[in-house]
Amino acid sequence: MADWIPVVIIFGPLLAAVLVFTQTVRGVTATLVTGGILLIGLVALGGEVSGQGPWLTWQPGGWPVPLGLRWQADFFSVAMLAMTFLVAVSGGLFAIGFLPAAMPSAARHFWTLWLFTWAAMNSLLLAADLFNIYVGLELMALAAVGLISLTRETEALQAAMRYFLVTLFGSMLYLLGVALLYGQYGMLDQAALAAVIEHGLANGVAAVLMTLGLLVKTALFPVHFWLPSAHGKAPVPVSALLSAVVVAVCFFVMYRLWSGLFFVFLAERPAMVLGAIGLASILWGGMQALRQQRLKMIVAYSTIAQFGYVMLVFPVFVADGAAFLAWHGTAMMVLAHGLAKASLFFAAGCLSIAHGHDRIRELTGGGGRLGWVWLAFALAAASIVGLPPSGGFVGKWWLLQAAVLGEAWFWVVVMVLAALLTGSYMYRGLEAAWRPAPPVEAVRPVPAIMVAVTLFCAVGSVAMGFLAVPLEGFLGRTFQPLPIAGG
Amino acid sequence: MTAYYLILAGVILAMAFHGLMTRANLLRKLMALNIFTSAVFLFLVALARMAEPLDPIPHAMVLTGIVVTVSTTAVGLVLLLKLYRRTGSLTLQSADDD
Amino acid sequence: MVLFDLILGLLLVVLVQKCLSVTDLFGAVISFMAFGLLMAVAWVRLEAPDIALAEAAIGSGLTGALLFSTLGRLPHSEARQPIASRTVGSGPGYWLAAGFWWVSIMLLSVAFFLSLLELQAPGLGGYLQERLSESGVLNPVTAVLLNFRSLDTVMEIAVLLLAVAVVWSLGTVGWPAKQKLSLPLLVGLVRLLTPVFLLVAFSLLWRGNHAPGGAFPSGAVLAAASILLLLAGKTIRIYPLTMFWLRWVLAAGLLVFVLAGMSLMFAGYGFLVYPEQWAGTMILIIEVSAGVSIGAMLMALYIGGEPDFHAG
Repeated sequence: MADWIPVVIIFGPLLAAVLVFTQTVRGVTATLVTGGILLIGLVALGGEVSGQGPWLTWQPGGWPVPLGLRWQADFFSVAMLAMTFLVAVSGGLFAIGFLPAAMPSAARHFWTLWLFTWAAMNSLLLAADLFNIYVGLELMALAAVGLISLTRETEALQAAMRYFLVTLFGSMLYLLGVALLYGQYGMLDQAALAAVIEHGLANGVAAVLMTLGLLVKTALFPVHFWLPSAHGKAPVPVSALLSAVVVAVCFFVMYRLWSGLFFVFLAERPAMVLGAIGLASILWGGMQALRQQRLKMIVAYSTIAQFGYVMLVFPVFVADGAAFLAWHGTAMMVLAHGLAKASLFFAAGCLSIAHGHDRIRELTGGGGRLGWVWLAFALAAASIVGLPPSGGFVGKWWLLQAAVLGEAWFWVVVMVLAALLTGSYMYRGLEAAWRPAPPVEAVRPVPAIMVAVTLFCAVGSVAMGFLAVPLEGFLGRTFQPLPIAGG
Repeated sequence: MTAYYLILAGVILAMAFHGLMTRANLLRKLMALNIFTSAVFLFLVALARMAEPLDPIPHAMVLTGIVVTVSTTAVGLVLLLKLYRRTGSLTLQSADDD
Repeated sequence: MVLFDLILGLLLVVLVQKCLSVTDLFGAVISFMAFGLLMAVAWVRLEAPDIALAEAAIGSGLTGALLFSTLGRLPHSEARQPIASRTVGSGPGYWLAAGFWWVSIMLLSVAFFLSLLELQAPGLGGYLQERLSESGVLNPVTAVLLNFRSLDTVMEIAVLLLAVAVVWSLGTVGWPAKQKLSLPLLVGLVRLLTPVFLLVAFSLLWRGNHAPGGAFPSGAVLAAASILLLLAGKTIRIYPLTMFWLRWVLAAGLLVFVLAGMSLMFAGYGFLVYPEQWAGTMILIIEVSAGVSIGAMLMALYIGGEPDFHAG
């Protein structure tokens, strides 16, 4: 098996970050070269997974499982890595135009932290070992704190501080859960633990603690409070990366736990609790998004609501209609949401550079390149709302179908209402675009690269809908348990 | 004896959590977070002692954890100083949006 | 000895209480440091001398130094002023969140204590003993850190370097730093102690392969030595050219570790898979570079910003 693939995927961005830190390589160059190398790695990984899948495992260090640790990958990991890649590279390209215009003094540090975040996310997407995940979570959290506070404005510093406290507390809850599991079984590998875990109080408490820790990091109600300010006040490319990928990676870790290690616990009641958390997030995030006056804040609040929607997979799954469809729908939603959310933040960034602010009431007018920006916003919003034929639509449609087949009528109603709510707040953002513009308004030019990237992500999230059939084929193989003794 | 240390870890966890939630002062919050972390480590090491023979893997995990914690604490403290220079206060405003 | 443990536990609890409720921050920081030192005693009681070393040097020592240097940069009034214990937030959102946390934590604590009865702690000690001879070192903790679970350690060094990058991104510190303490004896004492510190750091590094020690405590001792030098007014001169070297010294530990892992992979052994006859040597090389880098990184964290030689 190709040993180099996960090494390149994780340590490529990490080495690039170190080289940028030592100021031997320019940040932009490092990011783009890393992108090129990772593209090769990802294609190779995709080939390996579809050839030898569903699961691949590696042993960095070469020691067998209870003593050593592993990396693991299935098709969902590949898809998440690809989404991370797209957002990280687009964000980098966007930053080429954005940094000189918005925060020239911080540009020097931006790239180091950006590459560190990228490495941390990739390591979390491949990690199989529970303690290794803890270290990865800390790496990602610290890099995110640095990125949020880059502007050094008071509000950003406060948001960074709040995020810092909350997310590190989440890590500690997670680690406490890991400690409990280790105390029971003396193992840290997810698959090895999944093979021996059984019902019991200590395991239950561990599941609750680890889930709580990850819920905090995924910003679900009622532990969502840090997200709007952190994602709303951060520099635009950072908001995009945090909302599209960092949150999704935390959800991915939780999802991995519940579809593997804690699968035995996934009965009616825990699933209902997870679903209720999702419902509350949908309502709270949606209502708050409706109240916001600034475009960026609407987009930030919509992250809470959308990940609430994603949480509905758990009650739908136990309703046992078409369980696989529910998993697939979730995967699709997370992926499409990533690209769409990045595009929405990019669009908000373009508009705030053009107008000097992002208050919805005064965003009218513009024309020229701004027309393309609004088109991108509309496409991305359509994907978030779930209009056909976008990727968001496919994901939500699969989940809805699974709920109908499982006769989980309550959750069907929730999903329909959630779609209406999403539609209303996204419409509020779009409304400005087709309001008649006052004739004279000074609009600053937006660099073409920023507009292009915005449009690219939006088109990507819609186009994903056309890839639904092959994607489902690949994902279909994914939900087989990972063998313990992988080589 | 190890059971005693496990319970001690639990008590310190609860106290640190209480401190983290109720203290408004950021420096105190950071210290509470650090104490919480120490208690998690104490729990891990007590588990290692409970095993027969002594299990060095949690020791390595805690060593890693201690270094990670000092890194995060350093960042937290610099952030706190920056905030203090900006706002003249060691507390956060409530998490309201604008 | 049971009495000893009881007293130790009681003291720990009292110190936590003091740290969180004493009215002035200065007193709270003192309690926090005492808590760290007593934790080191607890580690010794739990037969974890490696952690005791790291806790004394890093957990309590360096964190304490960081806290004091933060207090020193706050105005005197802020550090000494009694703090009114007011609540953190307000509004329905806050109370919902707080209520959620309280209820779940209360339930969790009860379940947590009950679940302690279930723990069997099988541990991996026996298994590890069998494989220890293949690892190239004699100290099991070093074997885990640098061989069995070396990936964790690479990432941990990455966290340290990232912390330096974040601290530097937040601002600069005028250099040479003016943190001199005006203690008459300090200069002489530091002159006397510096070689001792270097010797201790070196021996800790060397001991690491067969006894408690290794790169992390050694790096912490190096950092402590440089902090003392700084406090004695002996500024370490950093000029544009050396700034370049400083960055490389900071990055060296991580670079050597990752590049060693990668070259092993390209040599056909696998990422971070040491061939058995070279394991000891490779671990030593990695430890030496990591130790020096860790010392530099901890020092950089203490300084608290990117050195700026124009402002000095």
